[in-house]
Amino acid sequence: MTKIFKRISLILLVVMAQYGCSEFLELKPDKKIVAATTGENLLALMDNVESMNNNFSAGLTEIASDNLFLPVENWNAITLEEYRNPYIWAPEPVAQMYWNTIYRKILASNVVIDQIDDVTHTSEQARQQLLGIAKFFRAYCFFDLAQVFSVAYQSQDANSKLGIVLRLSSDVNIISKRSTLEQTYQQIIADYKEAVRLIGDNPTPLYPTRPTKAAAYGGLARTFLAMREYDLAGIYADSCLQLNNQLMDYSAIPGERPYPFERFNKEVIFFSQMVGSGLLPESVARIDTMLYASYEENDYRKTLFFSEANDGYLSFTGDYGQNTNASKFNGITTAEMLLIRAESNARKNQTDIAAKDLIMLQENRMLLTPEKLQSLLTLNKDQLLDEILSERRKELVFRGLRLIDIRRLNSEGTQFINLKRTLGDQTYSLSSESVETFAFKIPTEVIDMSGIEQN
Amino acid sequence: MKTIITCILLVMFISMAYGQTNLIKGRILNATDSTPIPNVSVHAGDMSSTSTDSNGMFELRTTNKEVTLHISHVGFETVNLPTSLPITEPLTIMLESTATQLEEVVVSTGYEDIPLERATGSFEKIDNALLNRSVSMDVLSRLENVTTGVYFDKGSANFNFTGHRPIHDVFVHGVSTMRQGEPGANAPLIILDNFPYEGDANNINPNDIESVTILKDAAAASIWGAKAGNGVIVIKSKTGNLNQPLKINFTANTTLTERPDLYQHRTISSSEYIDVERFLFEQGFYNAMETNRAKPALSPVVELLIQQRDGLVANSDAQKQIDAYRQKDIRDDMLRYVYRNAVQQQYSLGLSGGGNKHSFSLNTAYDRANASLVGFENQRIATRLENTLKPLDKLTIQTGIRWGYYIDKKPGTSDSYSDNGYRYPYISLADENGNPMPVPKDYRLGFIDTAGRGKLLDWHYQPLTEMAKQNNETSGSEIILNISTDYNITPSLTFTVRYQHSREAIETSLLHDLDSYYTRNLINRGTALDKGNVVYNFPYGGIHNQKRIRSINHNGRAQLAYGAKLHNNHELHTLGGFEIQQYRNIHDGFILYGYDPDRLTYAANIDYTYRYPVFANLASSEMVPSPINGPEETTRRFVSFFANASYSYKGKYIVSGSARRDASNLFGVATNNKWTPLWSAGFAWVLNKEPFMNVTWLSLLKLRATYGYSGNVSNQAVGMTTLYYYSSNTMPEVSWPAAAISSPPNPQLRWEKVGNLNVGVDFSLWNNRLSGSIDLYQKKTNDLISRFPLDPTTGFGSMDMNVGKTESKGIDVNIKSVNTTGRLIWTSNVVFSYNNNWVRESYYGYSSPSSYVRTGGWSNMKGTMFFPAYSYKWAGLNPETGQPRGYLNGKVSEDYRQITSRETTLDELVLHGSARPIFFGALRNTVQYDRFSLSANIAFRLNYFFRRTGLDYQRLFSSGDGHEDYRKRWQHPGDEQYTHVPALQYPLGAGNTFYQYSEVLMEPGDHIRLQDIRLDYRVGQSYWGVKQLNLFLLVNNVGILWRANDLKLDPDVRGGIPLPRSYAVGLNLNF
Repeated sequence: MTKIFKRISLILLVVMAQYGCSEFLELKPDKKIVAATTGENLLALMDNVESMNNNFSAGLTEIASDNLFLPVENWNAITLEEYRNPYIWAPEPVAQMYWNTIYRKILASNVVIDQIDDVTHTSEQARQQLLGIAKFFRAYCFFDLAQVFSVAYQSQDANSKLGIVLRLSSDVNIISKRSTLEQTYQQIIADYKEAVRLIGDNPTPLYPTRPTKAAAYGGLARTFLAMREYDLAGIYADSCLQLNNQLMDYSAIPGERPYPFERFNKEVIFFSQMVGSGLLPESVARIDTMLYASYEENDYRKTLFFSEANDGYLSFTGDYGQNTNASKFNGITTAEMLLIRAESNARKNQTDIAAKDLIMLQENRMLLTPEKLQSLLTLNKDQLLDEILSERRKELVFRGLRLIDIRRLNSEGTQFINLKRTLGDQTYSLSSESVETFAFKIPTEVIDMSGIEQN
Repeated sequence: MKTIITCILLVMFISMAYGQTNLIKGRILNATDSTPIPNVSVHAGDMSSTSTDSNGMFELRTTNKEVTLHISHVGFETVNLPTSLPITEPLTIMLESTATQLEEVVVSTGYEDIPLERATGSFEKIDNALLNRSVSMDVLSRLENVTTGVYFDKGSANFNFTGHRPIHDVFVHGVSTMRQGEPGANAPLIILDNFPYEGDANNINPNDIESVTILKDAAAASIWGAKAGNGVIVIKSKTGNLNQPLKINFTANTTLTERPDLYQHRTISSSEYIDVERFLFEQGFYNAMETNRAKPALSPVVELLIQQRDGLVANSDAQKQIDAYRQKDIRDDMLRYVYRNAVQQQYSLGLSGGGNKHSFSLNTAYDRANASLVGFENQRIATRLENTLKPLDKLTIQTGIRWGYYIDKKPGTSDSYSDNGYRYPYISLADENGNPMPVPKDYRLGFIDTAGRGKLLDWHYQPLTEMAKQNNETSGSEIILNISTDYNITPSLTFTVRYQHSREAIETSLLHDLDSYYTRNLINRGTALDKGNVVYNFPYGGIHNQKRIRSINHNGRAQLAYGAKLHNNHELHTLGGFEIQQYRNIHDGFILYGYDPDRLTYAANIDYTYRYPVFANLASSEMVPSPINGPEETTRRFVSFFANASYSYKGKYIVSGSARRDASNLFGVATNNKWTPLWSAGFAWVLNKEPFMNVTWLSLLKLRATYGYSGNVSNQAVGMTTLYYYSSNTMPEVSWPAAAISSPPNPQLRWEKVGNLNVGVDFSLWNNRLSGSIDLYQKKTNDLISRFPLDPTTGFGSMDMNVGKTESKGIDVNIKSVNTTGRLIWTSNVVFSYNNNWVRESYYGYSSPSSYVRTGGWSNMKGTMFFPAYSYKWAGLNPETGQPRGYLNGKVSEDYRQITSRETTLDELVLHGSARPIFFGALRNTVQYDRFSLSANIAFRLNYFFRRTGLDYQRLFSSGDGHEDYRKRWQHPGDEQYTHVPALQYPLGAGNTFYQYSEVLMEPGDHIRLQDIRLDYRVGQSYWGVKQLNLFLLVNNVGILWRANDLKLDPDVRGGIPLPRSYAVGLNLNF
C-alpha cells in the first residue's frame, strides 16, 4: 500500500510539474530586454542618439589642426598624458574610447544589417529605410576612423597603405584585420551609395539625428573631397543641396547669447558630435589668433562663434550642439555642402557658379558690401579658390574637418601648411610632408587584444 | 505605570506574608565523581534562593507546597526538580557536567532536519549561544571568526559605515565563479526557514534566529542544486515546542562605537599642501579653471593667490590669511561636527509555548542605530508569529507570518572624511561660535557671493547646514507568509506541502526642500534676470524624488519523505519532490518639481524638452530632468526536482546520495538546454562503533567522504542578441524610443558546475575534553562564466562565456578543547582555515599587465592563483631626475607606456603571493568561574599581500590628498639611495601611475588581531519570576596584536583609517 501510494504520488508530481513547465519558463526575465522581432526594435538602436550620434573621434583631428592652440598652463594642467599627447602629435597610442566607441556604433549598424530579414517590417519601404540608415551610420563611422587612424588618401598608393578594420558583420568570432586604404574608402562609398538608394526622399524626420538621403549625399561629398575627387564631391554636394539648401541668416541671430545657435537648426542635415577629451573644452582650447584675425570686421561669425576668455584669447562658443565641454558638433550642414560645391566648381574653372554659391553663403554670414560683392564676381579661378578655402576654414571651424583639408591642400601642392606648437620653451612641429603621412596610433589595449598592425 | 508596580509589589508582599514556611535540605554532588559542589545556586519557584556551602549542602525555606527547585551551576547541566513539601529526608542531587554530555546536534538543510550523526556531508552549525556572542545587527557578520571555511572579504570595508548594513562579501570555501562585477556573484545562498531568502540578508533580525548551519560540501548543499554553487547558509528561526510551558525571553543591548581615528590618515600637513598649491598656482595649473565659464570651485588659498596677483589684496594680508590656513586641519572640525560616537541599541522580546495540539512562538524586536556620521540613523522593527497545529496525530500544520519594517534616515547631501582625505584639508566647517560656514563646492565663492545681486536664492553650500536636514529616507517593509502541512501517511512516510509568499517594498524618498543646496543650485542655474524681473526656468519650489522597488515572490514545494529503521540494522531515509519559484522585481518612481511639502502641490505644466539658458552662462543650456524614475520589471522563474536518500547499516556505515534538476527562464534559449542535472554521493564510517575501536577515551570518530556537483546561475548571461530599451532617449529632446545591444549572443552558454570533493573526520576524545572536525576539500568549478574581454573592434567590450576552470583547495579545522573542569572551566576553540584558489584552465590569452597589478583584481590566466598579488618590478629612482624606473625586456627603462603594455609579460611582473589570506581563523578562549565567564577571540589572517596607498601626484594636484611619503620624495641626486618616492614632476608624467602599481608599495598583510573580549555574568537570584538573568560586556575590534608590515598599517582596510573599536553592554532575561 505504502509503496503504491508513493509511486502514484511521485508520478503525479512529475506530471504536474512537467505540464506547463515549458510555458512557465518562456517568460522574459527582464521586460526591458527584448530580442529584436520588429523593424521598430532595430530602429530604436539607430535612434539611440548618445550611442550613435555622439563621441565621434574627429575631435582628435581638430586637436591636431591649426584652428586652435592651448596656453602652456592649460596644457600642463591636463593630468592625463594620454589626453595631452594628441596636441603635440606625439607618436603615442590614443585613449581607447576613440576606437571602441566608434566600433560600438558599427556593431549596432551591423546588427541591423544582419537581422534586417529576420524581423517584421510595416512595409518594404520601412525595411529599406532602416537598412539605409544602418549603412549610412557604418559609412559615417568608417570615415571618422579613417581620418584618425589612417594616413591621407592618395589614389596612387592607397592600395599599399593601411586602412582601418572593416567589420561588416556582427559576428564576434571574425578576426579583426586592417584593410588597405583603398578598400576602406571603397567600402565607405559603397555603404553611402546603398544608403542613397535605400533611404526615401520623404518625409524629413523630426530630428536630424536620423540619417536621410540628403545626409548620405553629404557623406559622399565629404568622402570624395577627402579623396580629392572634386568633381564627384561637387556632384554629391549638389544632390544634397537639391534636397535641402536652407541657410540661417546670421544677422538675425542675437549675439548677446554666448551660445547663440539652436541645437537642431535648419542648416543641420545630419547631427553628430565629436569629442576631444581634455583639450576641446571651451575653457581649455583657444582659437588660433591668425584665424580669428582673418574674419572681417563685419562678419557676424566673429561675435557669434567666439567669446573672449579671461586670459584675453578667444574661445569657441558657436557650437551647433551648444556644448561647452569636450564635445563639439561635427555633423553635415548645408553651408558645408555649399562650400564643397563651390570648391568643386572653382576647380573646374566654373567661377561664376562657384562665386554664386560663395556669395549665397556670405550673404548670410556677414554684412556683404556692394564693393565686396562686386569683387567676388571678378575673381579668377585661383583667387576664387583661395577665397572659398578661406571661407571654408572660417565657416567650418571646430568641426573636425580642418586636418583633412590641410592634408589634401598639401597634397594638391598649392599650399604648404606646416603645423607648429609652442609650449613654454618647447616647440613641436609637423611639416607639410609629414601631415600627409600622419596618423594617430591605435590604442594599446586594442593592439593587445586584437593583434592588428599598429600605425 | 506607578500604580501597576505598586499593585505587583502588593500582591507579592501578601503572598509572602501569608504562606506557611517549609524547609528544604539537600546536598549537591558531581555526577562523575560524587564530590560535593560548592556555590551552586538553588532557587525555589518563588523568591527564595540560596547556594551550597563547601560541602555542597544547602537549606531553603519556602511558603509553597509544590515547588520546582531550579539548580544551576556553570559547567553543569541545569536541573529542574519538582518537589512536594514537606520532605522528610535531605535531597541528594547529582549534577551532570556539561563537558561530558554528548548532545545530539541536529542540522537543517532547508528541506529536512538531520542529526549530524547520520550525515555524511560537511555541516557547520552555529548554535544560539555562539550566534549571540557578538552583537551585530545582521546575522552574517556574527559568523565571522567563529566559523571555518567562510571568508569575509573586507575589500570595501570602510570606517564611514552608516548603520545595520555591513559591507562585506562572503565566500564559502573560496571562489566558485569568475563573474566579476556582477553583484553577489559569489554570495552564498541564504535559506531562511526552508526557502531561499531573496531580500537583503541584513534585514533578518538576528535576535529571532535560533541557529545557523553552513552547508559546505556537495552532500550538504547539492540538494539546493543550481543555486548552491557558492555554498548555502541555512538560517532557522526560533520556534515553540508542543507541551512546553510559556517561556519569555527578553534581550537588550547597547553598543557604542568610537569615532573613527581620522588622524590615522597618512597625509601631509595643511601647510605642506598649501605650499603645493602655491607651486601649482605659479605653474598656471589653475588658469584653465579660473577662466572656465562654469566657474568651478577653487580652494580658499588659490583664491587668495589670485587676489594677490591681481592686486586686490595686499601681499601682507594675503600672507596672513594663508598662514592662518596653515594652522587648520579639517579633521578637527570633522571630528567635532561631522562624526560622533555611534550608538546601536537592540531590544527583543520572545514568547513561546505550547499545549498538546498547538504551539506558538512570537518574537518582536526593535533596533535603532545612530551611525558615526551625524544625521545617519536607522530603526528597524521586526516581528514574527509562528503557529503549529496538530489537529490530528498524523497532521501538522505550521503557519508563519514575518513582518519587518525599517527606516534609514540620512541627509540628502553630506560631506565626510574619507580614505582619500577631504578636498580642502585646511578649511573650516564652522566659525568660532560653531555657526556653519560655506565651503566651495560647485562654484568659486567670489562668484556666488555677488551673483544676481540679491535676486537669486542664497547659493552657498554649508555642509553642516545640509547635514542637519536628514531629508533622505529609505524605508522597507517586508512580509513573508508561509504555510506548511505535514501529513504522516504512515509513521515512516510523510507528505509535505509548503508554500511561501513574500512581498517586499522599498521606498526611497528624497525631499530637497527649497532651503536645500541641491534645490537652490538648480533653481539659480535656471534663473534668468530680465530687466529686473526674475524668471524661473527651473520650477521654483522643492524637489521630491521618490523611488520604489517592489519584490513579489512565490515559492511552492511538495515533497514526500520516507524514513524508517528496517529490522535492527538498517535505516533508510529518502526524500523526493519538486519545487517551483518565481521572483518578480518592479522598480519605478517619480520626481516632483516645484514641490511644496506642506500642501503637497507641485508644478504640473513643465516642458521637459525645453532648453533654457543657464544663469551667467555657466553652461550653454539645461533642461528639467525627466520626472520619471524609469520603470523596470524583472521576473525569474525556477522549476526543480530533487531527491535524496541515505542508508545506514548498524549506525556505522552510512551512504547518501542526492540528485536534482533545475530549470529557469534566465537563459532565453530553448527549454531543453535549461535543465541542468546535479548530483552528489557520500559515505561515512562511524569508527568508534566498531568493536575494535571500543576504547573508553574515544567517544566519537567518524570518517566522511563526499563528492558531487552544485551549480551557479548567472542572472545576466543571455543566449541571443538582445536589445535593452532605455526609459527615454539618451538625448532628452529626442522623443524616439532608444535601445542598445545588451550583450553579445552566446547560445552555447552553460550553467556553472561546481564539483566538490570533501574528506572529513569528526572526533571526540576523553569525554569530550577534545572534540572537533577536520575537513579537506577540493572544489573544481567547470564552465565558469565570465565577462570575457573581446577585441574592442568587435563593438563589444566583453562577452559572457564559459571560459575555464578553477580549483580551490582548503582545509577547515574546528577544535574545541576543555582545558580544565571543575570550578574553573577553561575551554579553547580554534577555527582554522586554509584556502587557495587557482585558475586551471582558461580561454583568456594574456593581454596586458595592468589588470594583474591591481590587487583585489582577479586573475584569469591559466596556472595563476585566482587572487594573485602582482606588481611592476622596480629598478629604483633615476639618480638624475628622481623619476621611477622599471624594467622593459630585462633592461632598466622609463618607457612607462611600454612597461605597462603587453610588452611586459606575466613572468616579468613580481608575484608577491596571494592577495587574499591563505590562512585565516581565530582562537577563542573562554574561562568560566562561578557566575562569571570571560572569553576573548583572537583572529588571524596570514600569508597575503596588499597594496598600500603611496604618494599619488595626481590625487595631490587634483583632490588635495597628499600622502605623507611626500616628505620623503626625491629632491636631490643621491636621495634615490634612501627613498623610492618619485620626485615632483610638472606636468605630470605616466611614471606616477607606474609607481602606484610598483613592487615598493606592496606590504605583507599577515596580522593577528584581538578581535573581541566578552565578559558574562549570570545573576543567580530569582526575583519576580525571572529564571535567569545574564549580563554581558563586549569590546569589539580591540586592536592588532601583531602585523607583518613595518608601517603599522591595518591590512584589513589596506592601510586606510582603521575601523573603530566598539563597546557593548547587554542583558538577557528569561521568565
